[in-house]
Amino acid sequence: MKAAHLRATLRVLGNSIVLQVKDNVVSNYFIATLVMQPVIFTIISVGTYLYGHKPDLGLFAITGTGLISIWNNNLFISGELIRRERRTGTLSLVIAAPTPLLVILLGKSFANAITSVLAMGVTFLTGMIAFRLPIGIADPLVFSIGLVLVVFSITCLGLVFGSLFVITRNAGEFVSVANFPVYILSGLSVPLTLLPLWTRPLSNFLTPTWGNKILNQAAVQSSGNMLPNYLWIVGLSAIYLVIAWFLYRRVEYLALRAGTLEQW
Amino acid sequence: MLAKYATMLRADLRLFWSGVRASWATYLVELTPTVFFGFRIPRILLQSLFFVFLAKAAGGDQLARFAMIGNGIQIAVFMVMLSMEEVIESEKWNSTFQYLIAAPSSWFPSMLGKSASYFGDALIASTVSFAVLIPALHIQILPLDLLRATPIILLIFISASALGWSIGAFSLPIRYGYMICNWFAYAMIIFCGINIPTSAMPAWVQVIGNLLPVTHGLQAVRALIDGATYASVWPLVGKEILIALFYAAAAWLVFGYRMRVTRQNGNFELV
Repeated sequence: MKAAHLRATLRVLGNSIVLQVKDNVVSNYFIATLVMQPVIFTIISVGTYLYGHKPDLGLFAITGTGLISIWNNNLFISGELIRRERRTGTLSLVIAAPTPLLVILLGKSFANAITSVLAMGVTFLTGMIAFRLPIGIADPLVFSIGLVLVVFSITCLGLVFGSLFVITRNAGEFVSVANFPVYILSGLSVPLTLLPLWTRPLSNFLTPTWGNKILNQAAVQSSGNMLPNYLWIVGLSAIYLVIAWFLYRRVEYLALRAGTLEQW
Repeated sequence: MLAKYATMLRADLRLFWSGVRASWATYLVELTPTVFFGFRIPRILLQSLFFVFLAKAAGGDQLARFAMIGNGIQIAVFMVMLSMEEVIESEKWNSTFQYLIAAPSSWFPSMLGKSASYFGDALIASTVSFAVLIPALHIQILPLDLLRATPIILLIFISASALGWSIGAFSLPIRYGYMICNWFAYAMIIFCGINIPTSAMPAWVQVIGNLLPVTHGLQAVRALIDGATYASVWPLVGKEILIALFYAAAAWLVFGYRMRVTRQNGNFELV
């Protein structure tokens, strides 16, 4: 019984991923966001560091911008997913279905995160073309492992926010606010040393902070123990998933108790 | 003859006032206190903060000051451009475009009125950004110097609005006007010298920047804040006015063209 249940869940997850990837591939909106934002943000951040005579921070700016784009895409599309389901009148059906909403959105968000990895490539390409920066990754294996882990973890973090989108119509506004604190607190393109010390616990609780550390270290040097950073990301992903699970159950309960989603 | 013009003027003013009321009503519906204080104000502050931090990390306090002036204005430019694009595009999505075409009166005063509340929104954005971030980040800008530059800041909002209108008018037949305007507004951080001076950019970036709103106005604002006189920044102000007029004229002509073609083809559903 449990094996059948697991198989069914995996099937829904797989279908959800495939459907979302198909949707992204034909979405001009998604493609434009995926390409334009990394280009613009890379030019702004790397250009500012070069103007300030700090070319050594160019690579830091590029990896930071790549993570900015992955996070932004994930959050933006998560908000857009719920908004679209609501507009087309299918959100209620998705919630009423026996499959948990979390599983469906996990698949869709993961698909977004996978496709948004392309943004990392766009940022590196922009750095090379626009600024002729000598960009090479010192430890490609560690970089790749870190990227996979951070993409999964960002998906989990996106799910925490995604649950709130079900019970608000202000997802768009929320997305525009939730972006910048994560950029700043995670030290994406801006050093964490600029922030007051009391913000450190907040930074530690955000997975892009650790992803940024791994990607930057892997980009500039091939040695160093990455295990603590990996463990932070895995641990945080587990915490996000637990929080998201509770939030989705609560949201589903609220929606089922009200018998409608119209009141949100 | 004079009486006829007076009647037309009164009708236009009435239309303008109706537009203002509609704009204000929409603004209040969209921006509930929760949205305004919970989302809008934090977004204004955090976006400016991110780019000022970036400048501080790159060039210390001097570049942070430069970026603070730029981003305090850019955040309002960003919002006003998107709002103006939406004023045009919403006619399509709300299915009111055909009424504008069919109405015997001029569309211009009513559209101008519909944009009114967003100027106020832009002013709030800049004021909040400067009022909170300058003291919080200990940036050396005197409030009096900022006040002295206010007329030019308002001019920048108007010229950015004209660009927003023209993007809205050009992109009316497609579905991605808002997105195009969004990226345009971000790209202006590069082209208009928001974070770093345009003089540090490649020549082709400077050429594009010189053709966009904000670039010259912002240079005038920076000069005024640093103590220059209005007489000395007049050439920059003149260029900003000319650019504003150019984009406003482009918006007016293209929107009028869209209406004319739609009327001829009778296919407003496709717009």
